[in-house]
Amino acid sequence: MARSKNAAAAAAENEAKELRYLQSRRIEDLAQAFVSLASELWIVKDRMAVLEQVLDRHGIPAPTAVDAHVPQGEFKEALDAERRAWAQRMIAALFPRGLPKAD
Amino acid sequence: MKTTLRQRGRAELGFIADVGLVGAQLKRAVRRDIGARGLDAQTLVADLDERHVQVESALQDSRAYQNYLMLHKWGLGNLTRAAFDAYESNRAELEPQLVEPPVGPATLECPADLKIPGYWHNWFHNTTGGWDGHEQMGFIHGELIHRWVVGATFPGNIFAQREAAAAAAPRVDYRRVLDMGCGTGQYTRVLTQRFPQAEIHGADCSLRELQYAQRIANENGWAWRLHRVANEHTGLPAGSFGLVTSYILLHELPASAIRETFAEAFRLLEPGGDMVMADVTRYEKMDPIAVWMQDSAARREVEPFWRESATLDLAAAATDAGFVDAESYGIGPMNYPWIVRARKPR
Repeated sequence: MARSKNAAAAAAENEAKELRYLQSRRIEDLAQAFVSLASELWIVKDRMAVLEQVLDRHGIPAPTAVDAHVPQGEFKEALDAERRAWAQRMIAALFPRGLPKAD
Repeated sequence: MKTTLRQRGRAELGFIADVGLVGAQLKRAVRRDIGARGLDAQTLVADLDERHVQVESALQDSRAYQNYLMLHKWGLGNLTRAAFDAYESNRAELEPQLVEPPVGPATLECPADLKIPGYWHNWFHNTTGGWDGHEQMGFIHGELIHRWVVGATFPGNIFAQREAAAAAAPRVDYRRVLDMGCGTGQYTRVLTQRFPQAEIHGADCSLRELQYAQRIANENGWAWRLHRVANEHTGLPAGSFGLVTSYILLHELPASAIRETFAEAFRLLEPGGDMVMADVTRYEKMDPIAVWMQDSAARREVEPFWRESATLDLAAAATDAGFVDAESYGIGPMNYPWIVRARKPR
């Protein structure tokens, strides 16, 4: 009985994996989004490297200090807002004519 | 004007340039794929429109081709936007310098009866908004796009190529030199160094590019005389220049406008004066695969006149305009830049 349940679950899982939601034109948009994302990622990697060197020159061992730091208050709010805007921008790359507006 | 971009703009423009270099790498892979599918100089059809169909059909399963197109699209769609963003992030430092340019000897004249030709309103190279698409497009295109991205990705040294073009002029003792389609003055600068005794003029339709050219001239104490006029109808005095020249202007023009430009150059030159125009490699000097690659890239890059310009016999067009001793030849690797040189009879 247990074996047949597992087989059914596996079949359902495989069926779910086969579902295809994106049409071929969406793959085109996805590729554009991928490169945009890579661009954003590079900008951040560049900034991190610069930041760590600047801090190190000022006597702050940046990697350790950053790991231990927890954002609070206004800084946390600003970081949250920036993340939301960034997510919007990334998803907007999937819509060549612009991201649909929220109602 | 020296610019230290803020981190985001510097990193983003650098990334876009590097994506362009990856694209160039993929182009070589596309060439290999074309060869692997049995297409070469013998099997490719002569008609260029039919060749597009033939090659694109053969490359349907080419991963290199599909990803090359995808990256090209991304670069074209993001370059001007990234340059605008980089300007915005530096606006506080840049705007005061650009709004109040240095005072100096350069002049900029904008005739009231300016007639801008229709083709000029294209978004050349997919430059968002065209040459006057931003209040500081001269800086944005001349510095951020041209220097940071084009200079880093275009084959060869784009500044040395201009020097080689200027050196194609037969003399160095001209009294007046006109740079047609001078833009922000990248080539005008080279002419100033090549012909230090000459009065240097520049003509262009773009107010923003000319304003930035004026800034460059004034920064360096150069008395450039800049004119916002179309190169076909400058309104400048006949017989007033020893040399009329241009750098990568012609491929932006329909063939009819190239002929008009040559006729205007002829009118402007004094007897015995020289015309030296530098432009892109002629299709007849490229192999059929390279022609297909260039022609298809030109379509994507909003270069609607590239084909008719690159297939026009420039020496014959110069002769038709009245010039003598017309020569047309490539300098540098892959025949780039291409020179047409001719003389107005005495």
